[in-house]
Amino acid sequence: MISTIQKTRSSIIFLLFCLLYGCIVLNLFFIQIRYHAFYKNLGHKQYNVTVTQAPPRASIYDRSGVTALALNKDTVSAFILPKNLESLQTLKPFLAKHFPQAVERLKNHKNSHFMYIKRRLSDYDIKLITEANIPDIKFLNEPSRFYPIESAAQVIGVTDIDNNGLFGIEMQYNALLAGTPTTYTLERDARSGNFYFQKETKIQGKSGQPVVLTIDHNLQFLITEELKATIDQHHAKEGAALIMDPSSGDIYAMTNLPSFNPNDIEALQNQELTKNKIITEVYELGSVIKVCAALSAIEAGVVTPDELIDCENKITTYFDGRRINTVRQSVAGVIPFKEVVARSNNIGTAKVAKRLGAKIYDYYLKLGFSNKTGIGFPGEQKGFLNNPNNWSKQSIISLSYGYEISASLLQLARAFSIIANDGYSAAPRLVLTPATEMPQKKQLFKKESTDIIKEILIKNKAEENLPYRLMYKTGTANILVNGIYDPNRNIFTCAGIIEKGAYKRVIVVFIREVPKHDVYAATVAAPLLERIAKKLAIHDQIL
Amino acid sequence: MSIVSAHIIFIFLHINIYSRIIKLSYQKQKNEQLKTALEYKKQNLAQQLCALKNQALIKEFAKNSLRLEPITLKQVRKMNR
Repeated sequence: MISTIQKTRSSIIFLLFCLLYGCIVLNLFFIQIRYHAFYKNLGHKQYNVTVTQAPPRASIYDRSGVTALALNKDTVSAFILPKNLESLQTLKPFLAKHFPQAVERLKNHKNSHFMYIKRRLSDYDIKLITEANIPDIKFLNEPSRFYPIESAAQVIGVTDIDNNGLFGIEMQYNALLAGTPTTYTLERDARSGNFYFQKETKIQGKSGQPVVLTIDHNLQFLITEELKATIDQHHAKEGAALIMDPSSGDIYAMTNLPSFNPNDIEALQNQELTKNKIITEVYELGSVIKVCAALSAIEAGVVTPDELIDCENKITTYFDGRRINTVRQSVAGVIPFKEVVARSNNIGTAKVAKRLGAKIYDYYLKLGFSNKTGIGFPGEQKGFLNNPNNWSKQSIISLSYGYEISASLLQLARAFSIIANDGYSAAPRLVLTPATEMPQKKQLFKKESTDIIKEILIKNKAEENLPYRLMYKTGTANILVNGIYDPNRNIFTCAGIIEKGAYKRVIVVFIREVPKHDVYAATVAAPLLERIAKKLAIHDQIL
Repeated sequence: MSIVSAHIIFIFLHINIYSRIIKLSYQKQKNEQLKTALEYKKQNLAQQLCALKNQALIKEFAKNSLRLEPITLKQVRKMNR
């Protein structure tokens, strides 16, 4: 017989177990029903990881499509995890000595999960950190760029620390080169490491598209060499040169000196060096604009090339109450108009321009001045052309020989391209791929007018026996300093055409400020253009 | 009984297929990692190649080591075929 005490004990133990099971059932109810959504999300977060992956940045090529002008390169960055530092005693003195800025940032980011010590480490920094052997400092690979052809630095541009284009082609085509990132959801557990069970694409990105420029890397090197030699010879402040195909608008070479090393952007002190001044700066170009005035006058029919013009045999004269100066070398008496242009006489040019009147403004607009070229390069300047509504009595005179008009070297190249193209319009371009719609060619000037100008500009010397026709015009212009033209600070320009049969190229060169006085573009810029023309002839095999 | 056996067989088949899929997925991911590593190597080699093609260095080598001079226009002759 079971006693009452034993019965009670059994009942208590039974109730205890019922209570325990009740707690378990209650717990299960809470986990699986009441807080079902919470635990489901928790599990989801643990197993499902969302990853956003950016595609590699595409390369930039020269016109061959093979030679890279910009390609990817990994750089190393150092980082720490401030919340999980193990050796703060060794870390802080090391950072204070070699990376003091990181110490400051660490004070403000003590509770951060992640902090960079320095990005884009140099080889020296990598060696320093490796030898220090501090376990808290870890390395990370980050994408960056490498630019093999330094002479194209101002054209290509560079990327910033996050690999976004800062200027130049890198900036202009940043979206195309970078592509768009792809977002995946990966399913993995705690022990699968880098491997996943399932991968689902949430947002499909696009890979970066390469850009092919019109630049020829060999020509780029050759003209940069010649430009550098000229700058060194004359101790000039800066210079630029460009080669363009007038028919297609392709720019084969475009260089500015002094330049900078795009692979060491941190060492750059002067941001001026990053400017592609051929496109982004405008100048009063001086006598080289006389070609435009002459073309306008011939096109308008106000002068013929053989018409005799009285250049008065003086350095200084007064015309319409305004003073006109011309350089000693260009002084002449009564000479044909073609000689006025060839000799670059200001007096004769101004007299003919006066016949044009306000029409000169329209012809200059036709030649592309005061309008962007459509090349789309970041920072392009459209220049300035004084509107006839704002003219003074001096204006027509100034405009005839290149003052009261400011233009970029690219605009000048475009104007000369119109002459080279027998009067048809020209649209410069730097990019072959992606292809852009080129504007339809329009006849802006008569072929007869441009042929006359070409004959005037011919510079072939019999003794040289050049295998091509070389035509060019020089210009020496004073620089405006505090509202006054400084005769001791000049820019020397030379723009020309090299032609043989169907082959045509426009060359523009520019040298700024040489210390020697009484020098002109004929001795500074013209020889540079002639040497570039010879190298171009050999390179392009026009013999 | 036969229905139960059939179910058990199907379950085993399902597990077998699923584990094969995981194995292949694992192999695929390994290949992807290998591809990434090779692309990285290719990038480095391309960079080295570009650096070696530096025109200034080539010119220096041609001038100093091979004693070559830049060609002038007068030296070039056109041959008529």
